[in-house]
Amino acid sequence: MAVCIGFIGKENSPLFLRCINPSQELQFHYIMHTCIDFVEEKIIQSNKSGSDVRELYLGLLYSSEEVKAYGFVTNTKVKIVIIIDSTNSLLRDNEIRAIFRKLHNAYTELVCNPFYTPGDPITAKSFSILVDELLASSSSSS
Amino acid sequence: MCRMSSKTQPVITYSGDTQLFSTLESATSQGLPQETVEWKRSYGRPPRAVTLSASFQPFKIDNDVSKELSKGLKKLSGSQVLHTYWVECPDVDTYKASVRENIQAWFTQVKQVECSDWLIILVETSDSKKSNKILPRTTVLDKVKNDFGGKTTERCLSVVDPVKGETKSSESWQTFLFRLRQALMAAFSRTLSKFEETVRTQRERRNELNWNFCNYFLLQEELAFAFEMLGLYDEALVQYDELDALFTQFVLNSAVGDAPDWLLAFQATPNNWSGVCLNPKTPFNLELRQKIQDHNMSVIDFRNYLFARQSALLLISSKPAEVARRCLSYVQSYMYELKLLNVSTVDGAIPTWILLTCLQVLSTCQSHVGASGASMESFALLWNMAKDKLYELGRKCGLLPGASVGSAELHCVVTLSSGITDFGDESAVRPTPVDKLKEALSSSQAFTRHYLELSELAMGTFKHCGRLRSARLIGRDLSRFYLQLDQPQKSVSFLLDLLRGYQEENWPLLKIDTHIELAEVFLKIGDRVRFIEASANIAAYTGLNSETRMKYFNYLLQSAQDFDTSLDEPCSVLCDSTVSANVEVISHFPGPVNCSEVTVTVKAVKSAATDGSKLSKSGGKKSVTDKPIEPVTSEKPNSYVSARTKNPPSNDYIPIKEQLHLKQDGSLSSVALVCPSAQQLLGRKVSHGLLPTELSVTKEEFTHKLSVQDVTILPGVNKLTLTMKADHEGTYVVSQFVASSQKLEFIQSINCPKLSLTVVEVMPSVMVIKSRDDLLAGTEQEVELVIRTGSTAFQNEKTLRLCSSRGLTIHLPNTDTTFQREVDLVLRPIAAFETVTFPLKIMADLGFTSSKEATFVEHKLSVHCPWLSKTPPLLDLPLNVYAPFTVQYKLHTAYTKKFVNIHVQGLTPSSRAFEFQNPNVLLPDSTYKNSALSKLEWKNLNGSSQSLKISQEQPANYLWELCGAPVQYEMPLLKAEFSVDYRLDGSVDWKKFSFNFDITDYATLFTVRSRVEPVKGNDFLRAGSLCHMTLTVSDVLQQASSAALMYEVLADQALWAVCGRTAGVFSMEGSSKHSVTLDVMPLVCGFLPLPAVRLSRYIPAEQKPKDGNRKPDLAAASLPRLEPFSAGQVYNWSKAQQVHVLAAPSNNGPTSLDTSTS
Repeated sequence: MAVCIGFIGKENSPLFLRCINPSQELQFHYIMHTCIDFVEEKIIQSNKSGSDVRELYLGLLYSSEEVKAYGFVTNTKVKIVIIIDSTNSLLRDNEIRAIFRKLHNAYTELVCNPFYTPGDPITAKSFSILVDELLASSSSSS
Repeated sequence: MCRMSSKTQPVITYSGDTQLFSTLESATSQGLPQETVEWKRSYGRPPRAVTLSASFQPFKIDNDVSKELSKGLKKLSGSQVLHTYWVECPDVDTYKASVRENIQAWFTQVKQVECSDWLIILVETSDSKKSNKILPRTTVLDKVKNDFGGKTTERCLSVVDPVKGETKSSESWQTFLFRLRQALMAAFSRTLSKFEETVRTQRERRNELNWNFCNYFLLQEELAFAFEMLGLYDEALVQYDELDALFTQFVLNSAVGDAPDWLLAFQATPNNWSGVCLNPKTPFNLELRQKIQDHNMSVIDFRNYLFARQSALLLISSKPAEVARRCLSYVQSYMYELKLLNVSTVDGAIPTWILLTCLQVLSTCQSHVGASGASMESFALLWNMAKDKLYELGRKCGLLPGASVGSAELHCVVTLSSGITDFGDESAVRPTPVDKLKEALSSSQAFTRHYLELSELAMGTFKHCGRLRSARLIGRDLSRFYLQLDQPQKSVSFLLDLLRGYQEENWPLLKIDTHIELAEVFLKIGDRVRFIEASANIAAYTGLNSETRMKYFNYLLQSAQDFDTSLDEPCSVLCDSTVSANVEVISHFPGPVNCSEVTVTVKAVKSAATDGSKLSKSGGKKSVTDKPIEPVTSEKPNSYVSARTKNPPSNDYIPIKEQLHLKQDGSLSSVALVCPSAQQLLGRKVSHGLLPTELSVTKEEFTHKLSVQDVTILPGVNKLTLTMKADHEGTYVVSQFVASSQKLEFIQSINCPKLSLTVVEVMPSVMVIKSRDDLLAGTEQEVELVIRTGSTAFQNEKTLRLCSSRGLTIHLPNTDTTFQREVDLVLRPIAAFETVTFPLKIMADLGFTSSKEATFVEHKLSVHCPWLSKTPPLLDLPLNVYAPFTVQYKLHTAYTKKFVNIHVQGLTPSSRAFEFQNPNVLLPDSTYKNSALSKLEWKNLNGSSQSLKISQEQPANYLWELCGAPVQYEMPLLKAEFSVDYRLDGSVDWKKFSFNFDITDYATLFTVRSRVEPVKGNDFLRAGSLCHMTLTVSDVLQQASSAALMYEVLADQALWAVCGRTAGVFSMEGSSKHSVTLDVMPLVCGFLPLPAVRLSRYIPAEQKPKDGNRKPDLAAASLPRLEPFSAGQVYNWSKAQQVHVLAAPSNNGPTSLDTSTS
């Protein structure tokens, strides 16, 4: 069950973070920030392999007793991180990929909005509604 | 290596001449694994080269075994895969007599056993071979092959006995071994396939009631053993991984459905949590394996065994990094499993187990990998996990700093220790993880040491592999720990590091969280300034809940109240003020000392870039303890007093110089700050060196001192107040205490650079402040003259004289003076740091508005300030005054009529528009005295008494017709004046604005008319076809000028093509009209503007121009040249006319000419 979804900007500043339980927000901020380490490492690794078409999905970034973090990085170096509950073994890789795809689409749509400056914290209502729905659906499906 | 290899090796039985075999057994079993043999495998798996070894057993029929075998292979290890018969038979006769029967009997028995692979080995001596060479197929071997071989004659081998040591025998022996390997491989492969089949069958039955995972585990593990024996470690690992996955699946399923009975056994409470044993010397934990066999194990034991086996295989394959990586997920999934299985454990057992496992894995892996970078990431995570778990244990056992140990905590320690056992490995590196943990649990100090060590390792490893953020996060834990340890100073650097990271990447929430922690730390340290800073940051962050913000806001306000007493900042005083210091002197003399003067000297500190005048001195309160030693009774007036300040010395001023590095071309390359005495300052300070020794005290030269006269210092504490007049710039620190008593001077160095004083002297300043809008010329503008007194008060009345630059006048409101260029201002006495404002009205001339370029004029207000040291004491204040509008004059012509146009363009925004009325044009009276001009008069074309508003958006135009001008070639210059009344919109007074301009060439001399017509036969103009252009020049004056004229047709080359000459010279002599016809061709269709025609005066070579004032240079005089007419002299009728051109003809349709004037 996905408990938190976060967007991190090109310069590694947080763009958007939404979690199911708001009291855990601070904790998730810490996890998200640490995840940048792992994302950077994975990007360097994939650059080394030298394939032209870069896989945007980075897979499992980090796991602890409580949570697991999965990563995704767009071509514009915007990072998307999904944090799921460790006890959930039902959310498969494919489903996580699907969520990332939806999030990526939502972000693309957001960037198309001329009133949004890329790199600014995201405050768009439609965007947060969409993320909330994704969070709710991924947690109810499990 | 102490492996279970003897048990897992396949068995080869031997029969026949056992005595003979016993001589060969060792050679055979050693020879077998010396070379690899290719293993071709079923199910399309790739062939592998493997090393095969075997053990030998005498052949005997075991009925039980054979029965079991008929049901399927239950056991792989120790199973007989190949049967051999060894015989030495010198000749055929012997063979026929006895050997054949013996072989026959054995052969029959072998056939009964299921694994019926066999070999008959005939051991020969070389001479026996030779003797039978004569007849083919008559050797013993041939006979054997004939009798038993059937289709597989290669099962019958002969070998020359190597024991006999003959040269030929070695080759024969190698061939034999090769054949034996092949046979053994084939046989073993066959057995293995059968066994795999059994395993598969067992697995299929896993949902049956009486199926038990332990049994199955042992069964499949045999496969792993077999692969390991063959050296196929990866294949062996696959077996364990399959078992791992199978078990995990069972556990997961049990969470949602019913757990099978066998799984319940795993829920037993574990009583040992020593972690995984990875001792490379004992890859099999027999004790644990026995437990599996007995179905008597906890899940912790099972997992330990499984992980140990997996790790052992990975380590053999030199993949220690993989071990570390797996360990992480292993530990995590394991904890999850415990939850699912509802295993009850002793409190703290799980963290202990995790901690020990992490440490075990780390120590094992590092010994293998030698700390190579590849696996650092996993190591770092393991260190981190171990650190966290140790902390958890510390919390449970009351070992955290500041925690108290009660009976519950002690009990916890005892219980946990009981479940930790060493693995009995004497050769392990001491201290083992178990030793470490036991030590850490023994005392709070030991725990602290171990925790810090683990944190250090985790942090270092993270940094090493570039995970700075993770490393910093550990810093956060560490800072908390240090806070608990009551060492908040150590927390600061970690937190600041974190803060820097979050600030760089702009994580506001984390930043504030760090600020909150920092605030707590600073509060503990007592660093009020930074505490306030952090509090302000927290209180100002809107993302935080309001209680927290309010809490810190209140801290902030509270601290701000206590601020002035708590800060030990150097204080600043004004120049020329009196400074006093309270000095506490303790005299240890038994009697009073009369001092003529007690002084505290202050020493100037050279500060970089002092722009004001500064003087410093000790401020605030100062305590000095004097510990006099017996005064030296000599002629020398210097007695020595050693002393000590109560405040410890800190923050020494470091002398720093600025260094500019210049490039060769003199431009700046770099700037550096250099400390010339760095070595001295960075040198290690020995603590006793801080106190001056007796001999080192010398009286310093000084010019500034705080002093008090004629005091008596009594034994004990004396409180003195010393004063000084601060009159010099510079920063000063306290230097020495000197008490002069008659001819004795008691000197005491005061080593407290914090006691310093800055004296500030701020020069008075004068400024002109205008309102938000630009100053406009031509109208009254209000400005303010602001005088700041700075640090010096103006004691007496002073007079300021203001002088303005030319074109600017000043007026002081509330006085009866008018606008003038010089104004005197009287200043009453003003206190220091006061500001006096004088309103001023200024008025700038409008004279510059006729020039187009200058839209503003830089005026200057000079203030005569008596306090300035320079001569003359003038202070120039720049004032930019902008033009409110610009005026342009233009002459327009309509045939012979002349119009004068005055264009007024506003430059101000519409909010400050100007209003205009009563425009007028005048010629001076002297003009009318010229008889030719006496009839001139102006015809006003403007609306009478109309007022216009002018701004940036709204220009104004005035128009007059000039009537009655004489018609002649040479027209006298007219000097005209335009005048108008204006005022700033909203003001009352009208002001007059006048503008002078010259009117020249105000007679029309020639007119030009041009026409374009289709050639005859065509009715229309068409693009691409020729047509005629007729120019007609008329002499308006009809005074038959003899001057030659030149016309030029200037056609837009994109629209018109002119055929033939575009220019020509003609003379008007004799006629008033002249016509020229040219051929032109329109290039495009549409409404085309006619080609422009320019008419100029043509001056042939070597002819003086008619204008006598002109003095052409000689070269020009010898050449013909053109003199253009000015705008008013030629009138073009056809200006801006257009003709309609049709598209190029597609057929011979009619053409039309259409001329229209736009």
